Amino acid sequence: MRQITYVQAINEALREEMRRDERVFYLGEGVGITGGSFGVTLGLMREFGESRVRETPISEAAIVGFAVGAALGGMRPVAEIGSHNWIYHAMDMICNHAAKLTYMSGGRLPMPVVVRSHGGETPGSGAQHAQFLAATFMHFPGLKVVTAATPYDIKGLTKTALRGEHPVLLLDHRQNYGVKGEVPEEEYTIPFGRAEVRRPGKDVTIVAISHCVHRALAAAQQLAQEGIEAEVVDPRTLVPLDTRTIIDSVSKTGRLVIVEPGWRSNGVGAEIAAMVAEECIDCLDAPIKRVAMKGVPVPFDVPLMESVAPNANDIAEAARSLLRR
Amino acid sequence: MAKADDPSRDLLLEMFRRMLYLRRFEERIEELHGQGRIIGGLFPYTGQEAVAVGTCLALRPGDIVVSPHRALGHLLAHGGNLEKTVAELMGRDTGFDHGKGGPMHILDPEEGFYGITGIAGSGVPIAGGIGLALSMQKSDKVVVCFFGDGAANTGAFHEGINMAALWQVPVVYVCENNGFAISVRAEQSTRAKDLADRAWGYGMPGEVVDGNDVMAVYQAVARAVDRAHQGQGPTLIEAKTYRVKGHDITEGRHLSPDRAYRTPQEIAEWQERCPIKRMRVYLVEHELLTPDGEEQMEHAIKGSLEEAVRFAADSPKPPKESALTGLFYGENRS
Repeated sequence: MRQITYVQAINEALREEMRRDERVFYLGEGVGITGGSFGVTLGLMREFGESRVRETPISEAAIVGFAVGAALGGMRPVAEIGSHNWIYHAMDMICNHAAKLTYMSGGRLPMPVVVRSHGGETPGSGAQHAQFLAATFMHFPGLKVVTAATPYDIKGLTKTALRGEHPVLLLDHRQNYGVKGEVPEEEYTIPFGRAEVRRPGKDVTIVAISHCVHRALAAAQQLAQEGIEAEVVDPRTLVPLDTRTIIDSVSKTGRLVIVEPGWRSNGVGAEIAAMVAEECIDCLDAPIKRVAMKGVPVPFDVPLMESVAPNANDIAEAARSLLRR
Repeated sequence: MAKADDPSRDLLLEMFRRMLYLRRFEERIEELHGQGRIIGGLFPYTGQEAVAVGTCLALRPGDIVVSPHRALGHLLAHGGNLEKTVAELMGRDTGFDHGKGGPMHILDPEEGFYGITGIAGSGVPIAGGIGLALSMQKSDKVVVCFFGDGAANTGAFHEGINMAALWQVPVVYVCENNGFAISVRAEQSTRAKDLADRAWGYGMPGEVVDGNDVMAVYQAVARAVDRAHQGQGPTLIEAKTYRVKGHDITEGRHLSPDRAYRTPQEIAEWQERCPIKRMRVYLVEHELLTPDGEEQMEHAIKGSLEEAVRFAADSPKPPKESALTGLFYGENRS
């Protein structure tokens, strides 16, 4: 099967959905002729024109606000917010409007708004270009949250998002952008709420979010050499969350590590840990461990950055500690 | 009083009748609120009727209205169903939003009314987006976006109206400068004398209009609607008016005299410039309205109001389970 990059997978998903449905259009900063900073929209403006691939000013609140309005008006917008860090400007539009309008209308208004954004630390990003905000949006009822780790997943999940009637946040991690993976030529979509067991194992469950999936797989390889078989579970969507797959895994292994690119405090791990403790306390043979970005803004210097970001060694050590008990 | 550019007698009478309808509706709502039969954030429109009525009568069937928290005047001026309105205020299942939205969030897509937001300024980009959808679909419909003088200082206003002008969307932005953002005067919020002047800074036309002159509002909006139809993009109309009642319906009760932000004399002065009073004078002078005619209007309005109140009072409350439904369109779970 052919291998393409994560970015190419997004590009294909957008292209295919824009061909399939003329109501789909894309708006964001610098998304036109250059194809965006990473090439996500490469070639789209040439194919679909300036109306359907719209360059915007630096106006994140209006970018998402216009997307909300366009959805009300019968279009299917994809709003790009360059970085999770700039989403703060659009919080009112996402959380007070996109998330709530359907409910406030008594369930009558569809709200097909897709917001895509990349976040997470990369060398040299500095503190204001390094947040991974999945946990923030997981908190608000009315939003669906996607954190795909592989090209196959981001393509299928993006297509599902664009065909749905709901507000969806496609939250990428920048370090995923160069990841290559197998993606079939044939048409496919991936439903929300289905986790993927990336690597089966019997000794410890590692639930990994976004780019941490790759770090967790590296940790699992390390652990395998020590005779520890880790099961790596990738939720793929945080809302809706496939709690069943997570619970089944923890029932089998009795031990849980959750690793995410965002901060530990009130993170995705906090939610998943609470959920497992509520639903399956007797499954657990050890406390739950969370591995995450340390509680500081991301420092600029690369070794400093690496010291605060969760890596394969941290994950492996967390898993080991649960088995040493 | 502006001289009407040939609006028909029927239209002039309808302008008057509709303003009277808005005024009587509000009086009835205030009564019901005082009795505890409706609760919640109600934001009186008294004194501003000419803006809603002049604007909405300049629209065509299918045109869309976007409103902020002070929405009920716009809703009714745009022909919103009275029974569903009162039912929503009473939190009934027969309300527009099945009791889930309340007065600040009345959403009626079929009739093109979006009480879209309780957040000042947020309607500006959203209305722009609706306009964008319309122009992308090559529709000839137009959007009116109402917002206040307070909202004109928000970031959402700035970003939204800049983008609207940039993309030439078919939106008429009507800033109702009613003098106050809660208790803070417009003059205490900006050194700009006329908010409409801001439009020129975004490369679009802006116009100030006497917001208590229903015919002047009508004409200004009609011109702006025309401009939008010709593909010339948005206009910002600043309707200068005055909020006779408090920011919200309970203000009179909780704001003791030592906390007053304006004098009774100021209110009385503006009541002399009441849009309904002014239109009555005009119509009587031009022999278009008689006391009997007005009495008939009052009678009919009263009848409709009582019917709507009865309908709402007899309607069931939403079922308890509905609190956890309707979060995602088409999905019936929480």
